Amino acid sequence: MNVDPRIRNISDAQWREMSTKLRLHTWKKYGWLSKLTGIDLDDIAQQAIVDTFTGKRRWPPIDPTTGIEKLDVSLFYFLCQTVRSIVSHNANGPRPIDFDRIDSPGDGPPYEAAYAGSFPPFLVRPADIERAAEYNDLTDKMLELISADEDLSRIIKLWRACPDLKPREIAEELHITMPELHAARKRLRRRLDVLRRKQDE
Amino acid sequence: MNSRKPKDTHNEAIRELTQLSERLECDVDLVESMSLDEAQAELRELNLDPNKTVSPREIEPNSPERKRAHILVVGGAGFIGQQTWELLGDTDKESRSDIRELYVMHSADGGRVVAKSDSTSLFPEKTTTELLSEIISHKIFDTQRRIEVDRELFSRSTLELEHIFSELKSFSPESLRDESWIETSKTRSKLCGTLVTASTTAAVLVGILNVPIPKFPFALLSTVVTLFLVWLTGHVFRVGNNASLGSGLAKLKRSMLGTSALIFGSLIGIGVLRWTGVSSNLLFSGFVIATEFLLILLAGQGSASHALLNWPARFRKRLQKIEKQNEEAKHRLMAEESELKSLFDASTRLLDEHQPNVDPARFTIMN
Repeated sequence: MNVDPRIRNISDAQWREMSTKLRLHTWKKYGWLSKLTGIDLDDIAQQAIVDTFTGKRRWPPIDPTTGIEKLDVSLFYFLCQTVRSIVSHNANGPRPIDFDRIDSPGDGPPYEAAYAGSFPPFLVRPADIERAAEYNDLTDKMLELISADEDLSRIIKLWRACPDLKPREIAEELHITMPELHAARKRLRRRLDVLRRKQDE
Repeated sequence: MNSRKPKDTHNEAIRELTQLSERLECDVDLVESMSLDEAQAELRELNLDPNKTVSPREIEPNSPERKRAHILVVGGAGFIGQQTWELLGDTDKESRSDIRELYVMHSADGGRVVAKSDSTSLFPEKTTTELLSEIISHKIFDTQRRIEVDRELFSRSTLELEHIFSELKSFSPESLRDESWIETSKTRSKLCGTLVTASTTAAVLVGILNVPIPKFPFALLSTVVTLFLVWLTGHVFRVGNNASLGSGLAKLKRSMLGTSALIFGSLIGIGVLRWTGVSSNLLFSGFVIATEFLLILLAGQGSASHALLNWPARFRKRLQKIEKQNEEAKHRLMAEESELKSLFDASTRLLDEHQPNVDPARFTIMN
């Protein structure tokens, strides 16, 4: 087996740490899949490591347009993406998409029907206003629920403004470290546990 | 305009916060920035073994690590097979009722199946997922060649593999690297076999040939020796650290040792009956059947319970009912799985095509 020297140089201790974190990531992200199908996610994580170790999946990846190695992709990030790929193509491999079966995520009518409807498509409709009001109510309520925690409040406010930000970008934007964000995540989880318990009562 | 009740908003806010929390939970950067201890603690919270890791070097063909780290086990629908499946985390016994033999490489580090046996090379390297999906869909057992090889290998080495398996659970990975325990196990097995043969021969001579010895010592001796044999069987074939009577009896039903012990048990009955003044061939036959039935009942698991379920008609009916329910459940699950997979594939593909840099987990918040 021709193992890339960069991968071969990774010590057993480093593999152990990476494997532990990869298992954690896999179980957290795809735990629902395991519950539904009984699939062992440890195997998926292990397969990602094996595929990378044996060169079946190449790390660092090569940019398809430039043909240059993308050295900015960390091995852990690469493994996480490999897990995602394996999960996605598990068992039956990639399937052709039947576009007729893909429904619109929203509840509204399809585009053509909306266009032909009574309101012009590019005007703000009462339903949009109502939805925006509901969204504001909802995010206000979210802020209220975690108002006692300053860091969490800042995170939610930022998230409300820019929902697409990644956690690392949130940390950079708010000038907090990743461990601080990690701690905030734990506090959020605890707070949610309390809220759910109250909800059950 | 806003018809929502405050309670609805409250509940939805909790749901949204939960989704945000989940999104943070599985963020790659966040997980990567954790320390090993933190990651292990989180795995523990998910009820996962934090120490279950296999170094990639252990699956590299011909590497010394691999030779030491993996061990061959045989499984199927019998006792060993069921234990193997349970060891692998599969508790759905019904779905594997037709499986006769399965060869897997099992990691000594605690549960990772890496590849199929090197000895037959019928399978290329497969993951557990692939292997299990093939087994469940019975693809593996359609191959005549596979079945023939299975039979040959199975008959040749069942006993030895049983030893390996039973010892597998009770040894730490470190001790597995020392292979001397296999020799110890073989020696114990031989000792056990010799004892059974010798005592059975003696019992036959004493009991059947009517050797005149005092009745009470004969009955007492028979009882003590049989109990010792049952204990010894349980000890030799122990599962984990439990030298249980149940596991010993289940083995008794399967092996030559079991047959010998069964005969010996019957001889106890003769001894007791003679001692109490009753003796007839009818009673002897009845006692043999009763003893066998008792053994099956006491075993209560593995092939013994399987045999019990298949034997009387009323149990067979029950088994058929369970199988039917299982079949229906399997179909339901397959339909759900298929639907889910197609949705998942479609969404992943769409994301890849339209927004290749976006993590799909992010969409859960807004949608």
